[in-house]
Formats: sequence, structure tokens, C-alpha cells
Amino acid sequence: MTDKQIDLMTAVAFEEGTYGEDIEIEAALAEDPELRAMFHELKGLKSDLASLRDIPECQLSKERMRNAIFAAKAPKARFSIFNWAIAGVAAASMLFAMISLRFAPEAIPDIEDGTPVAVAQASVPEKVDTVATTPVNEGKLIAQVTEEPRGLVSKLVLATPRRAFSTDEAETPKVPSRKMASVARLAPPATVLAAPPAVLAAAAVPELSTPTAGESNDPAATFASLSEPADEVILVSDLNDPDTGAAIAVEESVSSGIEFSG
Amino acid sequence: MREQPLFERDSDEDLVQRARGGDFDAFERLFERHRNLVYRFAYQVVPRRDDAEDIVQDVFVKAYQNLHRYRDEAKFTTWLLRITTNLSTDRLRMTQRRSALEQQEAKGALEWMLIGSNSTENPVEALERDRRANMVREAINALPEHHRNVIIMRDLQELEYSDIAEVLKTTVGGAKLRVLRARRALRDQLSPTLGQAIVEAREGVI
Repeated sequence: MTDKQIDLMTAVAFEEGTYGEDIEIEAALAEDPELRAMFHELKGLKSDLASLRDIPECQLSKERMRNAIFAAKAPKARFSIFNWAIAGVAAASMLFAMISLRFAPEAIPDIEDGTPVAVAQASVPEKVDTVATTPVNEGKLIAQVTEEPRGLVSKLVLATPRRAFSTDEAETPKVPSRKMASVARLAPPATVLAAPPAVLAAAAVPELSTPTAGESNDPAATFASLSEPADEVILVSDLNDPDTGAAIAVEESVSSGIEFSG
Repeated sequence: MREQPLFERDSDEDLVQRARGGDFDAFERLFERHRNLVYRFAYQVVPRRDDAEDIVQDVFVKAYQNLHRYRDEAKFTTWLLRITTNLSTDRLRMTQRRSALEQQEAKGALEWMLIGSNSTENPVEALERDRRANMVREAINALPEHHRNVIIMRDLQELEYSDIAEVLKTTVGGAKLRVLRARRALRDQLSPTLGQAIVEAREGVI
């Protein structure tokens, strides 16, 4: 028996055959007992399938369905809003923290004219490297604090035997200027600009000395205290008021704690 | 399909439009109109009332959440049945993973409930009928998904071929062919057991 014949017989058994197909199958069944058996098998299958249609009533109420819909929506909304809120707060906090760390003003007061400069704390850098030999008026980097000092250095002043420092390219570093004060506002690791002695030795450079009374209003001048050639760094942590003689600053040689290379 | 009352004024599509606009009552009317269609299909796949009702619930939740995706070119019931076939198949897979012991217990409980539910029926006949029904149902569930769905739609839900064609996205002729193939597959599935019993039982009647 071919698949087509089986399909035809199935259609008739399931009462989906045409009149002509019914007649055709009826005739075939009358002649072939095997076909009859199969036909009754198919009829039985139809009957069994029909018995499966008898099913209990659906008890699902529209209230339950409504609750399910709202329950399906609600957690999503709560989840979403809650998470976004937390994420937003966290992101804002992190951003604020990063900005605060990056741009927080240093805890060093601005230096005003006439104000004696408290230029250094007790701690000193472990090491300062001379990294260039360019004149100071070119504003090149010559020294760099490369290691973490013992504690925060709020003001670090470096001086060579011939010159002190300047960050200002245009400024002739005859006299240490106010710029030095700003140079000194360093938190390690930090860089400073300085004129190396080797370069400036040949030039007519005013000897650096302790500040005069006239210079006392210039806080930056107060630390220019070296006069002899030496690879030495002076860390000026305090000064003496030239007018009153009051001890307002202390010079501290830190050459032993600083290494120069180059 | 037969769910829609003849004299109901609003069409499914009208109600869908209103539901899309936020009218939840309109969606509830769709639910009341078509829950039995969904339930009957679901029950044939997972023959436990609570499971079938869960499917109905899931279908309508999903339908509500995806109303914006429904396009008017298909009947709403067709769209609903597509969701139903997918969710029913998922649920059947989940159900089939249940332990054999749990299934056995459930069957036993069901049999006792059925016997107790109709006191005028001969318990032996009831058991035999249920045994055969379970056998056929298991055979249906053992069919590949595409065969199972058309058997349920045509032979259990008695959907018109045109409706089946729409769900399957095919022609009426294509739907008929698929139903025929599915029946053949079901018969092959049952032949070693139920088919032979039927033949033997009815041989003398011919």
C-alpha cells in the first residue's frame, strides 16, 4: 500500500474525504481485509483523539491574569529604576571622587606680598635628579624629585651655588623671584626647573645671598641663600625677618639627603 | 475560530487597538473571549489543569507585553496560538524533566480522581479508557513539535484548515498535508501498542 493510499484512507477515516474518495475506499475495504483492519485502526485513533477533547474547565480568572500582568511589569520597573538609581549614585560618587582627587587645591595658602614664606616642612625628598643642563631662562627641566619624600613637602626650594630656580622662561634668574615660591609648591613626585651651575658659571651672575631688607617683601628672595659652588640643595623651611630679626625661617641644607646626577 | 460570539460588537482587532491605547478592560475582554482556545491547546500538551492554566496566564501576559508587535494582517487568535504553541512546547520540555516518580504519583492521583468523579461509570472501563487516553496523549507528546501542534489544532481543537494554515503560515493544502503526515506519524507511534489492540478488539466486528 502506498503512502498516498494510506493518506486517502486516513482522510476518509477522519471524515474529511470527498464523496468520490469515500466510495473508492469503501470499495477497497470490501475486497481487502488488511485494509479493513487498518481502516478500523484509523477510526479507533480518531475516536481516541476525540476522547481527549473532554477536558476540565479553565478556572483561570481575569483577576489572576491581571495580577500576573502587573506582577510581570512591576518587578521589571522596580528593578530597573532601583538599579539605575544605584548605578547613578555610584557613578556620580566615583566621578566626584576622581575630580576631587585630581583637582583638589593644595593645602598651601597663597603667598601674598610681604608675607614671609614658610617654605618647607621638615620632610625632604629622598632624591633629586638633575636631568638637563640648559640655562634656567630656557625654562627646561633640570631637576626632578623622583622619590617619595618622608611626608608631604608643601614647599620645596632648590638652589644651586650660582642660581636659584625659576619656572619662568622669560625671566632672568638674577634674583629668585616669586615664581620660585610657586615652583616650591610641590607634592612629590614633582618637577622643578633650575639652572645648573655648569651652565651659569661663566655668566655674570649675581651672587646669591641672604635676602636684604629691601627684598624682604619678596618672599621668593628669602631662600636664595647659597653663595659657594656646590652641588647643594637648600631647603628653606623658614626665614628670619630682616627687619625685626625675628626667627621666622630656618634654612636647612639637605645636600646630604639629595643626590644629583648628570 | 469559534471563540468569538456572533453578536459581539467589537472585533478582536478593535479591542487590540484599544488595549494598545491603555484600555485594560479591552484586553480583559480579549482574555475572556479567547482563554478557552489557549487553554484547550495548552491542556493537550501538558495534561494537567494547573500547568495548562499557567500556560494560559503566561500567554496572555506575553501577549499584553507584546501587543505593539501584533500586526493586523494575521488574526489575533492566530497570533495568540503562535505564542501558545511556543510556550506550551517550553512547558512540555520542563514537565518532561520532572522525575519519573513525580509523574507516576501524579498519574495515580489523577486516576483515582477520575474514578471518583463519575460514580455511575464502571471503574474498570474508566480505567481502560484512561489508560488508552494516556497512551494516545503520550504518543502525541512524543511526536516532533510540528506534528504534535497540527494534531492538537486539527484533531483536538477542531480548528479549520484555513486557521491552521494561518498559524503555520502556509496554504490550506499545505496544512492538510501536514495534518495527514502528522496523523501518519501518530499512527506509527501507536501501532505497536494501541493500534494492535484496536485491531484485535474490532476484528470480529468487521
